Amino acid sequence: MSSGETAYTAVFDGIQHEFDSLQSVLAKANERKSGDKLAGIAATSSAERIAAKDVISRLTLETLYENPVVPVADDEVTRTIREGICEETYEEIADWTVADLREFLLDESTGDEEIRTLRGGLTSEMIAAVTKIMSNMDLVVAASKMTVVARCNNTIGTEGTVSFRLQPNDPSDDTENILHSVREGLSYGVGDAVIGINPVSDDVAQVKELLRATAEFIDRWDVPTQNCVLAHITTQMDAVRDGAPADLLFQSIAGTERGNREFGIDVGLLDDAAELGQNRCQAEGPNVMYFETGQGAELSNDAHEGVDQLTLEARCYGLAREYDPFLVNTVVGFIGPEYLYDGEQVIRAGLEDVFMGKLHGLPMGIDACYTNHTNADQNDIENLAVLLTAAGSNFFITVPMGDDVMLNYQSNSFHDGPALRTLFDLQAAPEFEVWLEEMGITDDGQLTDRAGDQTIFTDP
Amino acid sequence: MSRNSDRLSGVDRPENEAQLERIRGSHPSRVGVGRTGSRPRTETLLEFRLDHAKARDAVTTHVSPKLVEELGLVGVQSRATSKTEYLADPGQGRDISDETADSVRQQCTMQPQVQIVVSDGLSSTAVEANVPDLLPVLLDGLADRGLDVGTPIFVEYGRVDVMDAIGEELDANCCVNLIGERPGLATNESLSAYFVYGPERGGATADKSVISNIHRDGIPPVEAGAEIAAVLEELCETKRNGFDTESR
Amino acid sequence: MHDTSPETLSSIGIDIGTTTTQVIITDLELSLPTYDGAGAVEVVDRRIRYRSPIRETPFDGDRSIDTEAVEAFIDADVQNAGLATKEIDTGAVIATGEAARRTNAEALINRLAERTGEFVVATAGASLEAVLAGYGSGAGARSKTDGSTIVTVDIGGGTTNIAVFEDGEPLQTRCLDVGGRLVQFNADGTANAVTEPVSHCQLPDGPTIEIGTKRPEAVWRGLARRLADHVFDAIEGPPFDEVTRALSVTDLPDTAVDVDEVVFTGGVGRLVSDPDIDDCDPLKYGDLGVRLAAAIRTHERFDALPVRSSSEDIRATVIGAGTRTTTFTGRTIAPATELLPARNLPVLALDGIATADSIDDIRARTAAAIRTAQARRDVSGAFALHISNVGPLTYDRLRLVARGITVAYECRADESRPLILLTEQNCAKVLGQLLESMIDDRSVMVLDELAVSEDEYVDFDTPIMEHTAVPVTIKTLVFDE
Repeated sequence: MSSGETAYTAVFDGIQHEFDSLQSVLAKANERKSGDKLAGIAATSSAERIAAKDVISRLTLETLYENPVVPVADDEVTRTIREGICEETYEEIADWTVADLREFLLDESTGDEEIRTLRGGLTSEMIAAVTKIMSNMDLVVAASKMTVVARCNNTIGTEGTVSFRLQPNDPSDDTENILHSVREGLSYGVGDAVIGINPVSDDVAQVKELLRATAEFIDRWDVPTQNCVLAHITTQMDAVRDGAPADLLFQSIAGTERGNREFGIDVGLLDDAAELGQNRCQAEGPNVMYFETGQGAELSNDAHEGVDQLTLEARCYGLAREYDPFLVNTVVGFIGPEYLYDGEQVIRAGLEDVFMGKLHGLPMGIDACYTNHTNADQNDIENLAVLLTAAGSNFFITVPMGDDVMLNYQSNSFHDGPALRTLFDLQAAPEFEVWLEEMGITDDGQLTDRAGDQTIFTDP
Repeated sequence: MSRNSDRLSGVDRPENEAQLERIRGSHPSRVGVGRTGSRPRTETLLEFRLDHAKARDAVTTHVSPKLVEELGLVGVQSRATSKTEYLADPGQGRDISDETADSVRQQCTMQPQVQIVVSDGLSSTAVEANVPDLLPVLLDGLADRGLDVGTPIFVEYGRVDVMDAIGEELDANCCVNLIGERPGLATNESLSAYFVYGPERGGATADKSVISNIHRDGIPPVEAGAEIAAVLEELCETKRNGFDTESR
Repeated sequence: MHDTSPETLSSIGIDIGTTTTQVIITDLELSLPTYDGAGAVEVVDRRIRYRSPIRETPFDGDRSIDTEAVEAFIDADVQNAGLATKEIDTGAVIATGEAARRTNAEALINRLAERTGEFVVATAGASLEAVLAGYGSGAGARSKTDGSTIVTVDIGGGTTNIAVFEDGEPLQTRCLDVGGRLVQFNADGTANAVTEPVSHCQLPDGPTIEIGTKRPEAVWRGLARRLADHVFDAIEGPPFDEVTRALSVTDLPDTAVDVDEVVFTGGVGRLVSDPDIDDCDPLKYGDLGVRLAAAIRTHERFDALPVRSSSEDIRATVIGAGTRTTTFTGRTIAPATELLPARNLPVLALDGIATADSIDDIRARTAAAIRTAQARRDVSGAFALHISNVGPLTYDRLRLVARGITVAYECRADESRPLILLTEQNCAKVLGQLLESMIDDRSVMVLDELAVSEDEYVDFDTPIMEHTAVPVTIKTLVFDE
């Protein structure tokens, strides 16, 4: 069925709300986001927003399957998502409405296993649609049911654990400074998701040096984790081909072919990277890819194809799941106030993204963050981290005292790692948890006097 | 849990105190801060919050009209009518309305070789902290070089590309936009100077050359003024849109 | 916005020592931050491209170095490194120990500096050598990484150069006339050369040591032992004993330091690391070196030192010379092309500017600084005025400073010497702009972010990177007068 002119209508209090396309109704059903307004596709009133949600709740999954927001012929991301769908599973649920899907996810008889069975039949548009009719607590409740386990040098996402990326960025890529930040983070018990550096210089020699230094440190202290230097994928591939010790290969991805082109990648390149990762990365695996996403990236590169930022974000996850990654995270508040205006919008987007990632079957985490021109502060992202730990986010990004002096933005602090674990009675990744106990950083899961002191990692 | 005020570090009884002090003294990040339970020490927390508060204030406050007058700038507004609109819709900050264009043409010298634009950008604090020292050096440097300088303009809610609109309206050979950078926690006073030769609406920001990091702990504003004058002379001579930033 | 593009300079280090002559050629990779970056040009990587064989220094009779032989070595080395002479960008030629005392040393070094590359400085002075050896051994960098205090002891043929590094910075030097070649021997063990410093370690009632004497092994060991005592005294002091002071070629420091690590380098120093040195043939190198190394190794104070070995032991000085002599000015500067390159410019400190509050005060201070320097030192040619602190970086302040200096120079209208000004603060461009607009008929050059002091000399190369930075070498001493 095609997106006919009369198909998308809701009547509230005798007032008829009409939407002229599936793209339009999907956009207007979003919670308020400055990025949708900037794109000129947002609902113009609160009532119109709810009318759009109402229309969406009554759409069948088949309608969404048949009408991808960017046509199959025009976009390789659409094709990749389509090819990954299990036809058999899809057939079983094709006649469900989006409301049926929401209520299935929230039903007390639906657990991790039931969702897992269904997952293969869900396209990114279906997942985006159901997200639009869920409240914040709906998203937390549904996300918390799903566990997604991934394995590299250690295992993340198992029941009862939460992990943290240690992000030791330095404004001059100074190896010593970076290692001091690594020591600091490890002394707080973070770093089990990855020790991942955003380099200043996207240069093969620099990437190799940072990989070497982190690998050497990990080896010296026997840390059960993985390293990654988040340069452009081609730079990392050159470094790995040149013998650099990388555990994970990273790339930022977008939800449209054009968006990916702006990032200097396409599906073919990601295929090559995944193959190289399998053959040449140091890690035990099998999961060796790492992706970052974030609502608004496509619009900021003028590659949004008229589609709203939430739906495009879902399509990133559809693309990512083809590569069985070890980590995927949204960098939710990095993009600025023209896409997510304030703390409220950042929190909503963070909840949506983690829910959507997990429903896609991804080992999903988040960089709960904000820039200084966004109307948000540390309290907002601390709130978000609490909500998303409740939602079972696999991991969070952490930086020293929340202040990333290289990327000039703020994220969760190293301190938030042990705080969230204690609050929710969670542990680190199992291998890492054992190491923390052996190092005397934790004792029976609680921080010891040694915790927070990076000089415990000084060579005698 | 008393904190020894002689120490930089907030860690109680570290294994290697001298080492920690040394790291803390030279590290660009907030490391060696210590903890109380799983939370930061009070001083560390408030220091962090203060730095963020200063950054927020740089974004949300306005350049004082008195300073604009003292510096002899013609004050105008971009198409944005409020900070909120300016932040949520960057396009509004890149152009001026037809009425503003008329007023600019009336108040300012037409067809200058060099048009100076000052914009609040994302830090009014940066404008207030740097432009008073920078502008006189720049004006003298341009005069020494015999360059014909137009009437300097201040744009409230201005983005980098607003100089394209102003330069186009005034038919300037080249423009410089002295604009407040997005503040960081380390400084909220950093200013950038963007350059364009042959300003035209729709020119890409990425094609413009830039000198950034102008503030008292980066390139001092007086020094930047002399450097900007030299760059503008180069632009006028080479008639090229920009200079080789890689080499600078 | 964060891109840095690498630029590489080829640097040569030539060390003409008492015993050996060595050459290394290094690729120095420079950081080129855009205006977004911290701003300074820095050497970010030093890769040794070529190490020469370690050759005997060719002497031509007693009084001079064999110039032609040395030049032939260097030409061969440059060629072996796969370079042409004109491709060498920078570096240093140094003569150390006994070689520096030969009559033609200064002329040779300057000649090598001229012909080897566009910007190769001739330099010498025991303190600088000590620091270069400390950097070349890797101890300077390690002291920074570990935050430790490291003492490097470079013992060569003629001298022992000791440097103390704290957090990567050279803190002190102590330099003695103690080395392997203080005495040289024939194959039969007869002394055939004895240098003057030996007299300080002669026992008053012991056997004389002079050319032609053949003494029992115990006598040589005794001499080596006494020399070793003073090496330890120099490492451990202050206080220093009188003989150590007599052997010292530089001023000795007054403050003691707590040492975390000691590194021995140099031709004799590397023998100290050999645990079996005491059993080695004492005449292996035809001099006192083996005995001196053994005396240090077996000394009762040796075991108390936290000794660490260095992989670049014998080449420490030359590596330091090849990699550590070049620094850079700031990146917003006012260079004068007609004045570059410039060599051996004496630095005249212009003090008290930060607090001077009138044009006349600044004029008077400038005139006095020039007058004093001219009375004290030979500054008949060009010189560089150095202002450590101009005061707050406001336009009014800088205008005042520029005006005061201008007036001082206008009073010297009889001579056409250029005005070369060096500042520590980042303000060269604005001072250059001001001075250019105020001064007539005189070349003006202002360079910044340079920490230098009175009595030092500086070399400036032609600007690199589209005229945005000038390579600099700061020398504490050009040559012993």
